[in-house]
Amino acid sequence: MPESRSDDLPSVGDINKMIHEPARLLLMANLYVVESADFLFLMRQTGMTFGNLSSHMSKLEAAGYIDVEKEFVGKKPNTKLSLTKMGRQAFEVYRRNMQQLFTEVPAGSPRSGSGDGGNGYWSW
Amino acid sequence: MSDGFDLDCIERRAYLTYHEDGLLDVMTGFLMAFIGFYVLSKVDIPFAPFVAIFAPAVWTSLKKVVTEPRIGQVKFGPGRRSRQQKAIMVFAVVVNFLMVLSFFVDTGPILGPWGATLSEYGVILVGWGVMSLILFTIGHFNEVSRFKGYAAVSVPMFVVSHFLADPALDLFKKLALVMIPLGLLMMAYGLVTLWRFVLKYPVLEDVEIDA
Repeated sequence: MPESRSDDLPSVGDINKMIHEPARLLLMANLYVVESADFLFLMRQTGMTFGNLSSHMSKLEAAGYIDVEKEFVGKKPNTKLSLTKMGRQAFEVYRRNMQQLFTEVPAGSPRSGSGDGGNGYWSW
Repeated sequence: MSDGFDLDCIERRAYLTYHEDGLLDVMTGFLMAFIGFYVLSKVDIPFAPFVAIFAPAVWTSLKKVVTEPRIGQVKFGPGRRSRQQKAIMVFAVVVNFLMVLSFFVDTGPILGPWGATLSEYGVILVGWGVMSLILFTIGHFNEVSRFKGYAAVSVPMFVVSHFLADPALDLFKKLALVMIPLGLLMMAYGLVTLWRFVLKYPVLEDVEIDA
């Protein structure tokens, strides 16, 4: 029997793996809701360590999703991050795909209707 | 690491972290107490222009010195800025209303029977309608709920002032008698909040944050 899912329903394989990794997803989500933030602010908000954040930042920058601007504030170095247009679009597509995946659960599923199992985890 | 992905919640948490420092309480409380002391004093210096010029500058400097080295810098989106603009507009309307009112109170008879009512119940009317409203507006638009608490606390204070203050005092002096303790209370709570903030977010070494 061939697959029965709707053509509009993205397959799990369509999910952007660059964004899907939890730490990068958290980083992207934090940047999505603001215009820009510096490295320290993101460390505080995400709870990531310097090395962890730095590593994910580099990957997202290489993918063209975030813009990293290094400058001096007084005598101190400051790294400012913001989502690029491409990054913002990619995050929106990812968000839409995930919403579809979780809301269009086939009828008859014991958890259909809520889309998130009632825990609000995917309350985009 | 946090595992919540509610975008509104993430934005709100980022915004509230920025106001976790208590500086808004300290600044607002200081201004209220300062205005109260000024009204009760006999000093005749028009301070309003100085406050208007220096208050935003002091606020920005404090944020740069106290808050940003601890939690970093962030620029919020247009939705948040729009809420802040609304708060400033309401604040400006209320302050202008207060200035017009002070003009009419000074010129007395122009208000007619309203003048008598204002003179009798001014502390409650102006206190609730202006001072409490300012605090509630700051709390509502900035989503800093403790300001709604200050607004709630100010209501019984104005009532008590209405009944206990010397009837010979004019309206603004009666208001000042509430503004001073309320301002000092806000400053005290703000300083406690600031102390907690400083302990919670120590300044990190440059090497730890320079990516």
